Amino acid sequence: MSNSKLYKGSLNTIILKLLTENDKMYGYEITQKVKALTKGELHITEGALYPALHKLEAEGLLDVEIQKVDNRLRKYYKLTDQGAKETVNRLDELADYIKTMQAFVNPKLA
Amino acid sequence: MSAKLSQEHIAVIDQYLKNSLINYADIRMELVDHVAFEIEQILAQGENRKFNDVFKEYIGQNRLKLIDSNRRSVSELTWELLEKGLSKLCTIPSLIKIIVIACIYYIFIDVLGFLKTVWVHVGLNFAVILIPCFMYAYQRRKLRMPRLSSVERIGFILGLLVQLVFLVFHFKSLYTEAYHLPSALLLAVQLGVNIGFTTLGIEQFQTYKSIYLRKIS
Repeated sequence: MSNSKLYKGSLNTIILKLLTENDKMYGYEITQKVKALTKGELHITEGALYPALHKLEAEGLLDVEIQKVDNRLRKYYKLTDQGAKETVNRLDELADYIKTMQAFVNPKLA
Repeated sequence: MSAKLSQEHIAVIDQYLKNSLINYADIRMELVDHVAFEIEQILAQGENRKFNDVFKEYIGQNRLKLIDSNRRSVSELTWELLEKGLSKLCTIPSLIKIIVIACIYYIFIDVLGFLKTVWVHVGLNFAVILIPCFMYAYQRRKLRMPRLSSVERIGFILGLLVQLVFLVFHFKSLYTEAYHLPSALLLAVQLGVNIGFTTLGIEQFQTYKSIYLRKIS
């Protein structure tokens, strides 16, 4: 990741957004999806991803499902109804943030 | 080329993470899956590498990251549970319960005196906190259940709250007739908080039981 601090505050929103587009996902799948979507620019480490997922789960935004796959247990995450509503709010907040930053970085485009 | 790890390989990863003090089965399970994926990716590249070599190399590079992930998960979870427990206590039904308990304590102080009421309070708190703790320990031993993060973190929070019970004794020297009502309220809030967190712990355990336990054990 080029500047992890800039992405840090958006990690939860990124996870929620990915889960709106996919019915259910597991941790490693999320890291790979993010890597692919950002062409390797954003690499989410396990140190950041799992605590974020557990926080969202504890907040009631994510539901979990366990399945046995390839000799091991896999934990899938999916959005709850509350999570789906919260995703809309957080994406709006992120869009506003990007717009505000745009005004600083490139005033002509803002 | 796909290279899937065997049950024995998964057991090696699980045991290693367990030895690295990643104690909670629900958190470890996810990290085992992550590590297994990474190792499978390396093995799939060919080069005839053996699991043990790849595992050692991977762990050498990522051990601290995995431990940090566990530490942060546990910490996030503890704060989240604390917030959840406290916000549950701020609901109208909980506040009504606390007021009812305060009224009962008020009568107790009147009839039994403050010191005897405090002993009743201590007994009730220990029952509320320790009975579920013993039941959890018993179930773990009997059913060979793994350690579960949310349940044990609530146990940790309750452990701290038990210490607060002893603080009540410091108030007893300050007690006079004038402090009758505040004392009853204080004891009621404390019992209410302990009941609230114990209930949350039982709820978490039920959730784990339905989602995790059948799969983990």
